[in-house]
Amino acid sequence: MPTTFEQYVHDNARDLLRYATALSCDPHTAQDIVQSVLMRAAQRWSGIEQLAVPGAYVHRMVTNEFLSWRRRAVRTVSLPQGVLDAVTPPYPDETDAVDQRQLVFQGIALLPRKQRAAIVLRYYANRTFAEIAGELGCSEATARSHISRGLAALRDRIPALERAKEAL
Amino acid sequence: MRTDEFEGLLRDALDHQAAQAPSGARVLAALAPRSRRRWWIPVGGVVAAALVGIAMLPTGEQNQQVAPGTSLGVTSPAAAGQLVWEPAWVPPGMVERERSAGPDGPWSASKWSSGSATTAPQVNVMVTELSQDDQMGPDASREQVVVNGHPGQWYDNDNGHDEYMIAWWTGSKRFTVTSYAIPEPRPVLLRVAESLRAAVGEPVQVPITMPELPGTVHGWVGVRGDQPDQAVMFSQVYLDRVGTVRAEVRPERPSTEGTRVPVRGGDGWWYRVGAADPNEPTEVLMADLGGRWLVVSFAPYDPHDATERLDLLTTVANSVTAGSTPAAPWLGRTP
Repeated sequence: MPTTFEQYVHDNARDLLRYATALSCDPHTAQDIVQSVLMRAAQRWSGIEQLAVPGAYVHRMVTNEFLSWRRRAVRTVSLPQGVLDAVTPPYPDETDAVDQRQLVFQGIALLPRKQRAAIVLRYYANRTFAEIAGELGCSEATARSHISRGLAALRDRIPALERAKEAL
Repeated sequence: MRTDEFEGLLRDALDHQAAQAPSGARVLAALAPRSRRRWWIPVGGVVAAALVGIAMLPTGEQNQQVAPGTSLGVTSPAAAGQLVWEPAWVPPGMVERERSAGPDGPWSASKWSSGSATTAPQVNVMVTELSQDDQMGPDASREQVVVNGHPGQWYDNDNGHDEYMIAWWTGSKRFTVTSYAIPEPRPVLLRVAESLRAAVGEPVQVPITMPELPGTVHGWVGVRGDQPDQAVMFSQVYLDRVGTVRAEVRPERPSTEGTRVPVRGGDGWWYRVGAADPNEPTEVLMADLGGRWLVVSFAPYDPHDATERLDLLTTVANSVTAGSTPAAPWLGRTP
């Protein structure tokens, strides 16, 4: 049975916001992205609801909105090295796990957007490589390349943390 | 840290970040009046935009086929024989320099450029046979375009390579025309897209066999060059999380020689270079194929990956079989 737009939003807005937050590394940007996407989806809902999986279509709209070049200037999340360090909590993290998680998160925020989207789709949304390729509009090999390069960049950050701990 | 540990850490970091998502109250508040209004919003120009948007949503497989020589704007009976898709127009000064294809034929592509340097202005044309899981039409979040009456969309790809693309869909196919280093690309890409024609021809086939390598996930083949008698054929595979390995068969001896190493029962030459560009090879092994030259190269995904791959390149070079380079009369031609 087709889902009304209101029902779809009621059931999925939270998940879309979580996904957009993981993508954008910023809750406020995520809110803008999801709001913008849902406003457009509302206008097209009579077509979208006829699709086999309307949710997948809206999910892709969120990804594309994040990747959209024209909105980068006001919604950019590609921060220069060091900026995120300055906005980390003023108190020290208490466990290695939190330190490492924070380091990885900072690394994610520094990735080029397509690499970041591929990483989030793979490790947050648990998508297959084929699904990621479809969502990003690229070949499966390119999707794998985005993920491999992203992982390599993120792994680079771990030794830095370990060296810092050894120095203490 | 082991790979599974690192991936666990990554999932944890992303879950933690996602948990910072806002409640959605502002989103719902912004949507509420809009959703109530949406029944009377479609007036005037908005009506047209909405109807076009809905009409462009995919409605299922159409299995449209075309005959040789026809443009994409014309629906025709099924064609006999093999078809290739060629532009009838590209920017002045550009010639065809490469044809490539996926291993089992899901896509084919041609590259047109005004020079052989990678920085030269370039137009790529690609046709992909879609599977059931592929996106079958434009999505609503990109600027919509129409190519010969078919729904498509415009891409600004933010990858630092001045890359733009038009994609459009017809039947079970997706067509893309991509530009690199072309100023004001939109009218150029649209003109190339609208000029695309089906012609009788053989899809590119490359008689190079590569050995099974651990982690191989994908591959593609192609023929490149500046003129027909200088055709270079190649086969390339992607190794999961490692990089790409490419084997080329060239008609002329490569200029760089490097260190002499044993390969294919004789001498080969191997060298390493710094990774200035993630897409450029960092290691190259060359071997004489008896009048032609085999060039096997490796490009890592991680530009900091300094692992030596001579063993890998030697394994590939020793196992590659290469037939005759296919005729490529289209190399260096204009449409």
